[in-house]
Amino acid sequence: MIYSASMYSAKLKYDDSMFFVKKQAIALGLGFVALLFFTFFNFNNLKKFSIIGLIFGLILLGLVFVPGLGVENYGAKRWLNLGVFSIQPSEIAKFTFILFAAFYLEKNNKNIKKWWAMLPVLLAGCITCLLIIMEPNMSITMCVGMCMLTMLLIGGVPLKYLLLLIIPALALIPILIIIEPYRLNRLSAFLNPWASPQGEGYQLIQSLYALGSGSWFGVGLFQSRQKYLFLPFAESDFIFGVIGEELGFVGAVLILLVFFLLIYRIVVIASHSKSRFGCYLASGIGGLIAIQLLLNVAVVTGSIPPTGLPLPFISSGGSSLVMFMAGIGVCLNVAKQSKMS
Amino acid sequence: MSEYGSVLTKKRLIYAIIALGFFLFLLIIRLFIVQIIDGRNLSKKAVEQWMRDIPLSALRGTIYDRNGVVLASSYTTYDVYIRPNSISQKEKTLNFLSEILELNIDVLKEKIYDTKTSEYVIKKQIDTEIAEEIKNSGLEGVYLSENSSREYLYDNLLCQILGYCNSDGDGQSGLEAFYNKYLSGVDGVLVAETDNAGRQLEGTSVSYIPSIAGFNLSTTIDYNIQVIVERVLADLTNEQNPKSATAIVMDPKTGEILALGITPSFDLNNVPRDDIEKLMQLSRNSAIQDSYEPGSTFKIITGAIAMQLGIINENSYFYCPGYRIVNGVKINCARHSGHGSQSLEQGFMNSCNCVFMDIVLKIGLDRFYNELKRFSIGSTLPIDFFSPSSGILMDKSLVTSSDLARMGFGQSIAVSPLQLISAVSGIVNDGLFMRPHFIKEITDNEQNIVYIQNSSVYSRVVSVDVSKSIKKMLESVVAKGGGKKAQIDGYKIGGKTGTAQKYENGKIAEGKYIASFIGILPADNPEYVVLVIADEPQGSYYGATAAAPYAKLIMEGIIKYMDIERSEPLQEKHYVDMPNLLGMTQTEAISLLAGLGLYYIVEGASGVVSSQIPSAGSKIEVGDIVLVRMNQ
Repeated sequence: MIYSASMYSAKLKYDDSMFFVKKQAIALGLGFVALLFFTFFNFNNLKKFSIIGLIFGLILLGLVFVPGLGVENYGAKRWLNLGVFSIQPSEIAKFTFILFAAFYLEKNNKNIKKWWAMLPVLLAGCITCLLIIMEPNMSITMCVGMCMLTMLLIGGVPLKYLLLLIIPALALIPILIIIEPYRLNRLSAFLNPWASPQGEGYQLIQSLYALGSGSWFGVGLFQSRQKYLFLPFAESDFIFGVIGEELGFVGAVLILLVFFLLIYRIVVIASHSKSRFGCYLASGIGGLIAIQLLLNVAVVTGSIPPTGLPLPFISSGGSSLVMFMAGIGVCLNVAKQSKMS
Repeated sequence: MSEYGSVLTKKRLIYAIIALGFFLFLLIIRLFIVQIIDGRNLSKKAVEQWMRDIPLSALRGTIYDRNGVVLASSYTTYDVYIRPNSISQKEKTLNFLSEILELNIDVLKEKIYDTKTSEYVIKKQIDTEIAEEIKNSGLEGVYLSENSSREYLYDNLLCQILGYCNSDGDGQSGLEAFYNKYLSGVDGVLVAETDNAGRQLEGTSVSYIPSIAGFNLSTTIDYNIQVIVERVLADLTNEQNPKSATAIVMDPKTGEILALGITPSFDLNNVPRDDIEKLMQLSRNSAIQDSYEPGSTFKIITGAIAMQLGIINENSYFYCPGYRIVNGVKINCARHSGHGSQSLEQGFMNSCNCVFMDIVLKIGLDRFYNELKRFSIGSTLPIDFFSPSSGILMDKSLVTSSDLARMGFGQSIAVSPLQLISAVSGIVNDGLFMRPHFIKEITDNEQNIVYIQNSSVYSRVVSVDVSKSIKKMLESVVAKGGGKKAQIDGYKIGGKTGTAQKYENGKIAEGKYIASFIGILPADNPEYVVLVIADEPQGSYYGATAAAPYAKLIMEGIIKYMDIERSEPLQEKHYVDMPNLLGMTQTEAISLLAGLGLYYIVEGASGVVSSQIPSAGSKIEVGDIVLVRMNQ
């Protein structure tokens, strides 16, 4: 899919239509290694790394702001240059945060009904969010924030506390919009993209064109016309648009069903886990996949204001793929452990 | 793991998966809306952006006169487009184009090497030869658009009839606008499948959909008569200094408009586009789209209606004391001292208002309005031109008998010049009112006829007998009445003068007149009807002096051009010396002039003669008209 979506732009940009595919293949290889490793690595040992992991993730996020290491792209510092390749620390931080939250929630399960019990998770989540929003990367911030709420929910925090959390979070939205006025433009472009078909509304319109051209069964694999530079980020954030164009409504719905089955399986694993930690860990990973899936597809179909978020497993982007595959590995291990005992 | 925690967690996990399923379901609905319901619409728009096209404008059709003289024609010019991202041989293309198009090589280089812009127009309006060379060069990424450029071969000639086109080549006024659909043809296009930067996609080819040239119009206009008309109008303008002047020549047997000129005019090849108001005014065809109070020329219609209704005949007599009091309002005749006893023929010759007041009052309002319908007065004239005026008829319920009396001699009623000439043509054409028109036929670019406009009868307005009587009386008007100055020796000419007072804001505008003359050639078997109108002439404002001589010039021109044979023997011309009338009373002056065989127009009511034209002592032809001005 990445090949189809990116072959034209990659050919123009790097004179190699396989450019993104090669990168992704390397990431896929690494991902498989990670998947196998974590499948056989007892997840309970991860507990030891939870606090160190959280700190490591936060440091990586902080390094983005170090000149020379942070790579600026589209006005945001999101990448870390490691010489041979670059990584996106926010992709890693999402998982280290989940690990920490699962660890902490298990440990403090007895006190979970007390309001102060959730403070450490909140603190860790907020610092993570703060660092990510400074990049700035609104969408992953939202993603982490929602993931945090999911973790607290699964962890058993009383609903009234969660509701108290959501209200200030909502109040933050206007503040964030005032800080970066481009977000307001995006919002108005979302409400009426046709008002500025060449400006803010462009991406959304192009995405709708792609989906609309797909109709029931799509134009056929590799036959997308929108990928000829019309649809920006066709290989990453908007790959679902190209899927809709090439495979049609039927193909797009099938992909969504596959995701649903995957997440359902992870939830089953979580609920069968004999270990509270395993349950929380698997729920967090499943929740992250679900949140990113929903946000991404909602953006591509113009259901929520545009924001850049990759589609798990499918969008081009090595860090994301490696981390998600590692996450699947962890879930498989959780499943294995509960069968064994 | 405590039991409570586990149950709670499981419950919450179930809620979470249900929530996921719910949101996914919403997204699937959304997908369905976008992909299936709006899909067709969206994909149509998407297809539009996938294609880059270059317009190939159709060649606009030619407009001919009735004899095949080209009045307006079109030729193709080309614009040169480049799509930098589709140019493979940049250096070669740069050198070739800069040389052949004489473009600055550095400026062009920047464009050719600019990969961020998808398309440039590098030169506009190049001619066919250079375009051919570029086509033959076979260079990639270079395209030619085709435009149709309009050329009017005689600049100002017929400007209000032909009309002009906008920069997109669409007719904005005149026949260009009315027949735009036929003239414009079908545009073609050069389409390429490209990416968003204008790069042509591999494995696709540029498809060429040629344009189809527009149809050609053959008009009823006779170029030679039009030239005569416009020359005479220029003379009229020079000599009489009117605000504007109009002349129309119509073939009464067919309703064909042979010539139509209006001054001031404008150059169709150099349209004053900067001043919209001025352009609107200049391009307006006031002869068709505006109406005016015609004055005495309208008496032909009043007389014809009354004769047709049998109210009067050639033997009817009237009495003119110089005015009529109608409904308590005193309405003057042109000659304030009165014409005395008048036959119908004399009424026409002397243009006596009292005669026609009597006639129209006898007809009555209802019958008069009913009959006017046959002449299409008060309703839109069916003609191939946009927004023809229907004239102005007062609302019937508001018409007093004094208004009706004025209508009898062509005031308190307004018609367009075209309505008037069409109505008079109908009366003299044995009573058959022909539908006026501008187009004879429409042909395609292979000269196949696609449409023929046959002459058609709009209505029968009077009987053949009435027509014959009217023609005879109109002949008398020119032979021995007020139309004397339109007489052409050796030919039977009919006609009627008109001198109408202009009204502004419902009041008589002092000193503002419209002088007109309608002439018929030959009077007994009309082939040409000529109407000349001078709006606010600055010298003598009478139809007899400011319009009739020019109608005569037009008719003389037509006789010469059409080689019309003389029907009458040449009259021997007699001259007398113009006597000195200054200081005489009106009665003395009139009896002196009548004794010498001279006609006269008297201005002013009483007192003594204060001035005269021509001056005393000059030679004047017997039968000519003298202008006498009283001091009160």
